Amino acid sequence: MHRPFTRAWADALREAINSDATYKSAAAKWTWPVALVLEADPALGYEEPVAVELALDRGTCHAATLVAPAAITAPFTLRAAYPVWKQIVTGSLDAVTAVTMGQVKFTGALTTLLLHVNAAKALVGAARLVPTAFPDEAT
Amino acid sequence: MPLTRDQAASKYFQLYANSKRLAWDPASVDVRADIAQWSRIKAEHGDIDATTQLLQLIALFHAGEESVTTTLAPYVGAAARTNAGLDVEMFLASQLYEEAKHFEFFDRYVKEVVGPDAAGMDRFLPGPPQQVLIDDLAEVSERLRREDDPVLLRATFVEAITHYMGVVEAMLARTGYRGAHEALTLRGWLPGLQEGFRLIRRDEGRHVAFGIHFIADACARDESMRAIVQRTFERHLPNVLGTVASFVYPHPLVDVEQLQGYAIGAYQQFMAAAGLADDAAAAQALVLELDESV
Ligand SMILES: [Fe+2]
Ligand SMILES: [Fe+2]
Repeated sequence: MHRPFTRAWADALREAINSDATYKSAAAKWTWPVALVLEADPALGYEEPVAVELALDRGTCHAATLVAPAAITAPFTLRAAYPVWKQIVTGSLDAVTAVTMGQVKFTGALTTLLLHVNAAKALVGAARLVPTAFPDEAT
Repeated sequence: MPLTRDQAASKYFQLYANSKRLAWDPASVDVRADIAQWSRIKAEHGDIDATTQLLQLIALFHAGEESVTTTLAPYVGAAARTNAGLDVEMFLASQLYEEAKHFEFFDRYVKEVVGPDAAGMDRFLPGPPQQVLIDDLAEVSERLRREDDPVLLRATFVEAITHYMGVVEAMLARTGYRGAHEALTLRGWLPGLQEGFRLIRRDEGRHVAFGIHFIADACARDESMRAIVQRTFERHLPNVLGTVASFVYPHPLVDVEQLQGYAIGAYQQFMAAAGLADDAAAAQALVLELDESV
């Protein structure tokens, strides 16, 4: 079980993406790095905002790196507060809907993201496979 | 000068011909049953603000049809000044006439059916709808009217067509018909309004088909036009999604998340049908839908 937005969680996410056949086919045309940013949430132990940068290319994740948001170089960034990410990862909130309704702050070419909605949904699907220890839940 | 053989057989001329064949009169749509039903919906579904939600839909179409009526004339002029062809000019003239009729329908509906409840319906406009449907469309139309550099005029024409026929008609209006279908048709509400939407949607199918062909032709002639189409969608997509998101209510008549999904699908279909995105299934879906209406 991994705490979200940690080194170990990022590694597990990369492995989950790379072993997910659904992602592989849905993202066959997605060729850009993506950064996921978690807003600071001191009550849950996230003193600063933190980002995981995913080097995605045609269905494969070549690297998942934990970085400070200022160091992000990916052309696509999805930024949200902890409760929103949790809802997305646990499947109660659709990631693309969250972008279109403004719960997730998106930077990058929306035209590109919207042409690859299935790749985005499959990425979230892979994230659901990561064994995750949610810090707001009693252990 | 007679139409050339190519012009008389073109997609643009065919759409123009269909416009004549499928002409209708907004004054003849029977809205009498709607008058009594409006009051009944207001009384029986006041707890969920049903008539407020319907009024928002009507207000956006009313303002939107007025906006597209007042901004299209420079497109006809630009078609002439870019030598786009008499077939293109004839089609755009038919569209201008149709947009005027669509505005007439909603204006009549507001006066005859909505009546005093229409007071203050402008409150639904500020923000994304005002921007994408009215202000930005007026701005690009005015730029189109004034542009006299031939190279810039061609580029502005592609931008203006993308905004009008792509962003407003293919994405927003089609999403609006979907919303109307869910709010009205599935409940059996307001048959006169349903009939108006049916006739308008059929016209709009031609307008969208025109936009797809125009953009595909322009991009086939000049690859650099693709970036203009892309940029125009990029600029307006947030306001399209913001307009759809403004239909969130505690007890919504339509599922806004589904509607957002529909709007995204409409964008994918338009890009694919214009040859700007590689998605044969999406292109096919739109072509089939438009074939029903043209
Ligand atoms: Fe119209
Ligand atoms: Fe139209």
